Amino acid sequence: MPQVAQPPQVRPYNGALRLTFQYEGSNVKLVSKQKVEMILPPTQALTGNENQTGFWFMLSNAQGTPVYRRALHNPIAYDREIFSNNPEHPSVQRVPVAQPKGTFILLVPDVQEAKTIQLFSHPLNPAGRGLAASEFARFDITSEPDKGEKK
Amino acid sequence: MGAGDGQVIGTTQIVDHGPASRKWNLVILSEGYRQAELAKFHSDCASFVSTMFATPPYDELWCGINVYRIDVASTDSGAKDPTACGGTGANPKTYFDGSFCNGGIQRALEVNNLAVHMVVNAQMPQAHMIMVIVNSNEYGGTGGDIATFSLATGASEIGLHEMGHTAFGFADEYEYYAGCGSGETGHDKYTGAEPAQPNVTADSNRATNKWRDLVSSATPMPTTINKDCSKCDPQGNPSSAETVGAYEGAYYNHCGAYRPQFNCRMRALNNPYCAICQRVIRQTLAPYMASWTWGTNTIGAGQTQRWWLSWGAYPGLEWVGVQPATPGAELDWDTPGMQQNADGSALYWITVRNNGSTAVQFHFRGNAL
Repeated sequence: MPQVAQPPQVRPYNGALRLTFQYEGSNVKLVSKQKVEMILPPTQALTGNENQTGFWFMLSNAQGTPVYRRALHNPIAYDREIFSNNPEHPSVQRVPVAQPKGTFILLVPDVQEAKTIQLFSHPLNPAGRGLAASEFARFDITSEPDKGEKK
Repeated sequence: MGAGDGQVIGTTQIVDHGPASRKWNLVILSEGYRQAELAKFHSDCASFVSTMFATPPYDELWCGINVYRIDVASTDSGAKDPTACGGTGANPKTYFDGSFCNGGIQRALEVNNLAVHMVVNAQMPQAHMIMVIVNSNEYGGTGGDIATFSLATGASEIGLHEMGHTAFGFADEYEYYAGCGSGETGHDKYTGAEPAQPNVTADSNRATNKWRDLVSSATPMPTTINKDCSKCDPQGNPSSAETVGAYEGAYYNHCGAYRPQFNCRMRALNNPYCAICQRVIRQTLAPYMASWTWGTNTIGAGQTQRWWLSWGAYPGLEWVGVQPATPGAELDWDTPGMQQNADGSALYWITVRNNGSTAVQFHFRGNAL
């Protein structure tokens, strides 16, 4: 009797969107969208992260069903990491950034069913680390950049 | 100052393991190199690549990695070095406005990351990770979306630490924010939610800890306890360096958060990545390897079985075959088959024979297309 193998738990994605965001504080703007032929890692667990802290993004379809999720180190630099080669100092430490402002990239799979990207984070300041993450920005990735909803 | 202070010369692939569309692509850009100094940048790039290649687990994953160099020539050499931080006052005209003294901290060497992204988006949009090497012998660097570091001895470690954050989503494992001797407050005990990052946790329970599969039953959980949460734990490692457990002190807190090994590159520079970080790197880069594992099953002694797999797109993968996971075991298999279904999906099958006298666990292996 033939047996059915389990579908692979790791399914990479062929084809990606390179999304460029600019931010000032927690105000984030999607400024460019570029189709790129490249492999992206498979999705991480789509559920079970509701009470976690950190940063992640989620792609959802038109019905709001999640289709892809990746947790990342927070790309919004509300503090900066400082390094040292002086043995009298820690080799790594952090200092707060007074006015976070910058640019970051997210690579997301270019899948037909994906409609929106949602960004989740704990409050965007050093003291906010440890609080449960919540959605703080959402963009329609099927529309032209710079027209997405901002919170 | 900025993009008017130089020009983008072009992109060169310096580690070539295949097309960019199939590999994990690291892109390294130059900052503060005059055109006549670009040969030095090429050498500095090669030096970093050698360091990375010698760093586990990148050594074993090397076939999945491409490296590209983007030559950007600046009008002047070096980086800004403001006197406000005790610097020399140098103020060179450079393409990415590289400068020390960001936030009033001398070692905080940063570049204009918007300008970097614009160049990468135009030159090498298949980049998974971006680094900038700044032509200065003064120690410095920083992270975030782009890893930036100078040419000073040991500064390439900054690139490896930041790659852990940016490419693999690692948290910092150090147990302080500003430093153990800084007199910092508000970092005594972590009482927050479980971090989403794979290499720190608030959960030291053996039954539920997220890296429990790598914790030996002989290892106490938690493995270390900080007896004075008002400061960093001064005790040394009570275990062997490779022991995975739950070491108290991580994620900027002296207590209440745990790291998986006593030391890791994400805790302090010049250490190897811990076992958890290495596993995540392997998992993340697996799809870029020439042959990757996508499933595991077991076949009983003397059995012949056909295994089927459906895939959402055709052709989604190509078979390589099966590989026994049991040391010394052998399996036979026939030529793998595949067909396209009417809905555009694919069906794959392979017949596996175990001629031995014991059950064999094995991996299916294939190439993602």
